[in-house]
Parts: sequence; C-alpha cells; structure tokens
Amino acid sequence: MKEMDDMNYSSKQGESRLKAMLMVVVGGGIISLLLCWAITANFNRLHETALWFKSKAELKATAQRIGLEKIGNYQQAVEKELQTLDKKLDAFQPVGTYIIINTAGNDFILMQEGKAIREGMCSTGSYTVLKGNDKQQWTFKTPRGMFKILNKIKDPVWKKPDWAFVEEGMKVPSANHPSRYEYGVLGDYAMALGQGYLIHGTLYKRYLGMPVTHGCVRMGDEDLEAVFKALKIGSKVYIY
Amino acid sequence: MNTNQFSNPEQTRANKPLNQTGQETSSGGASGMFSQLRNMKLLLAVVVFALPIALIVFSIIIPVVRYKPMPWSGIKQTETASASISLSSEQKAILKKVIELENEKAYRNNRLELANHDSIYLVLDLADRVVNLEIKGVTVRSNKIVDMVVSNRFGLISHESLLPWITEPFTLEHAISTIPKSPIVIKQAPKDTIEAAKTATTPEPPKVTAVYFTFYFDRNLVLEFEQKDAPNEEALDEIKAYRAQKKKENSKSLLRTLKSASEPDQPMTIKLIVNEADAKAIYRAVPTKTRLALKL
Repeated sequence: MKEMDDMNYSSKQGESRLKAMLMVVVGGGIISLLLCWAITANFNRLHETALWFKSKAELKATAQRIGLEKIGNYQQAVEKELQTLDKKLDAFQPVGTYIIINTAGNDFILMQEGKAIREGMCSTGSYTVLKGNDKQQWTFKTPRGMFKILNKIKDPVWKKPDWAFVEEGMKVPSANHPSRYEYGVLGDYAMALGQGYLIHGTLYKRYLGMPVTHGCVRMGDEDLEAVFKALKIGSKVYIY
Repeated sequence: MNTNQFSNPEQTRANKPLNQTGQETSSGGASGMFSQLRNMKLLLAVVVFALPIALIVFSIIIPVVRYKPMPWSGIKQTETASASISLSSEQKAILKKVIELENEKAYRNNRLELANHDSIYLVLDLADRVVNLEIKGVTVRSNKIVDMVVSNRFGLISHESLLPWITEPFTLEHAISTIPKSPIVIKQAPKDTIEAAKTATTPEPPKVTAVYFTFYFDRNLVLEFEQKDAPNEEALDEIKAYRAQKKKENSKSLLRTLKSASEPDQPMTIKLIVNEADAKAIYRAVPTKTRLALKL
C-alpha cells in the first residue's frame, strides 16, 4: 500500500512538474517573442544608441590628404571655386517680377528681385479624376514646375473644353459651337501659361484658398489685377 | 491511501528517503520543492531571455563592434591617417574651416547640377537649419527647421568618408507617409443634366491631416519629417498605419543585419521637425524620384 502511495505520489509529482514546465515554456516563449518584437520594431534606434562608445571622427586624414604645408593655398583655391559657383547659381535667378504658386496651400507670392511684393490666396487643381461615359478621363490638377507668361488677355472669354460639358452631363458640341463660349466667368484678366492653363479671375471667391479648379489658377479680383500689371509676357511662373 | 500528500508537508517529509547525513534527498520535501522552483525559474529565464539576448548580440552588439564608420558601403575606404600627425589647435581650426568650405563646395555643385533640370528638388542645409524647395535654381519655398535629430553616425564618420558621399545629389527611392501624394477624388461623369444637378456638391475645406513622412534616398540617406504640432485626433489612424510601416522598415533592417556576413549599411537618418504647412508643401511638391542637395 505504501509503495503504491509512493508511486502515485511520484507520478502526480511528475505530471505537475511537466505541467509547470509546459506553462513556463509557453508563457516564457510568449514573453520572449514579445521582447524580440520590441527589439525588431526599435532596431534602428537601438543600433544608433549602441554607437555611443565608438570614438569620434578625427581631422588627421583630411590633414594628410591636403598636406599641412599646403593648407593655406588650398583654402584660397576652394574659396575661389565657391565664388565661381555662386556666380553660376546667381545666373538662374529671374530678372524682374515673377510669381510663385503653392498648390498644397493654395496661395501665391509675387516676387520682385528676390523680394516678396504681394501675397495672397488662390485656387488650384482639385485632383478630381473625371471619368467620362466613353472611357475618356480627365485629371484636374495644376502642373508643377517653371512656366512663362505666354500671353496676357483683358476681358477673357472662356472657350469651354469637352470636359466642361461632360462634367455637366451635356452633349459635347462641335469645336467652334457658340455654346462653347462663355463671357465674364474668367474675371477681367487672364494670363496664359501654355497647354490651356491660365491664371484668371473667378466668380467663386469664397473658394479661394481651396483646391477646386480644373487645373487653372484662380485669383481674387484685386490680386489678379496686381499680378496682371506686374507680370510681363515672358515673366516666370514657378508652381510647386 | 493518502491522496493529499502535496498539501501535507509533514506526511510528505515522513515518506521521503533520507540521505546519509540524514537530510532529505532532492526528490521531494521543502528543499526539493525549492530546488524544483529554482529549476523552473532557471528554465523560465532561459526561455524568456535566450532569444532576445541572442538577437541583441547578433543584430546589435556584434555589428556595432564591427561598425566601420562609413556612410555607405559603395564609398571607397580612404586610407587611414598615420598616427604620427599631431595637430595644433590652430591647425585644427584651419582644417575645420577647410572642411566647411569643401562641404559648401559639394553643396553648391549639387545645387548647380539640379538647377539644370526641370524637376522640383529639395535642398537641405543642416548648418542654417532650413529645408528648401527649388525649381531651376530658384528657391520657391524656404522652410525653417524647428528641431532636428541627426544620426550619431555623422559624428563618427570622418570628413574624408562623408565628402564623397555628399558630392552627388541624392535620389529618392521610396517614401512612406500619413498623407497621400495627390489627394485624388474619382468622379463618374453624370449621364444627363438632371443627374448632374443631383450630384452637384459644394467644395469642402481639405480634411484635417497629420503630416509625417519618411524619404528613403539612395546611398543610405533617410529623411524623416514630422509636423511640429501635436496631431489632431482625426488623423491618429493614419499615424498608426505610418508607424506600423516604419516598424516594418526596422524589421527589414534587422533581417538584413542578421542575414549578412559582413555589416550591412545602416541608415544615415536625419529627423526634421517642421510646421505642418511646410511638411505638407514639401511632400506634395516633390516628384516621386526627387533629388536632394545636402549641406552638412
């Protein structure tokens, strides 16, 4: 009887030990994986921090390359090269008045000789993709980059492109159909940037500062007049 | 039969064999339990810490010990300076000035090269703490850096290794962000004027966003941009998704480190804190393969 008790005892003890071990392995394994995940997620930061004991960079290699005895002459030569580079970079600066248009913030800055002379709100492309019923598609975004004022127009007339009809659920008329011409919707002035893009006025002044156009740049009346007067044909327009 | 021996230590003690010195053997009793507990603790410690410690050793400690102070493995290792050169403080000052001039020269050369192209590009001047957008050599937006964190690696790498790294503009390889590059809205054309009138909507102000993005350039340069102000609650989901993506990038870095026999490139990271409007303007303006002129 006593022997059986002992056997029972040791088998139960073995069982409970196994259970405990299993719990330790599973529980510990989970904690271990969590720790590994934390290390992995913060790997770059940990790597960075571990660099603290490395010695800082020294100047000796630079001294050896240039030669200590030549360093004065070398400095002068580099300074001269910098002056030349500066002149080359200056050649890129626009002469006269130019305008910078920000499509992310829908604002503009009119510049003269590198200084801002007028700032204001405008509206640029809405980033709407209009899908026509006959697989045609138009993306209403303002192009970015450097442009030039190609033409200046007073009292512009809008010749509606195809998308203007498609957008309103209308049939697209022939190229020179009278229904294509709208008067007074572009404000008092317009400046052409090429490929059909214009800087012009708007009837929807409450939307200035918002991206709502079909790609053109819209301005309020006073800003438009000032910009029209300041910019000449050939003036640069930077859109970003 | 005693079925409750575990809960009766006295009985357990009575049933246990004794060794020669009269002490209980390790198969049971208080000390047996204690040693069992100790073994379990040891096992737990091994299970919990073995893998993380191995991970730290193989992915961080060994690579850091082996770390060669180079910004990118594609750069030729410069000859190490002979230890015999000793520099006076005056010479050191001149050398620092020359280093500054050489960095400036590399930066201006890069700007000149980029100005000859039509694309919008980035110009990062760490010395003056500005990040600019330029088109054809003209600064169209100058963004003040409110705060920045530069990788410790910049301090460890000699000018001789950094100079060849910055002599050419960097090219953007990929980016992750909390905001879309172009906030495109797809609209199906209405069938007729009645449908057009029904679907007509008034434009709404842009959605509230939090602007966080990371640019991964070639030659190991990583630029992180974060908006200065605390993000709006509406944008928290985007931030979570962005951080998850960043963790993924971290995991990739770690796997690369574990896989490679020699120490792989670690990112040369610069974190820039800027205003939200500046960050948004930068992210939206630059092309997907934009280039960067960096001034250290």
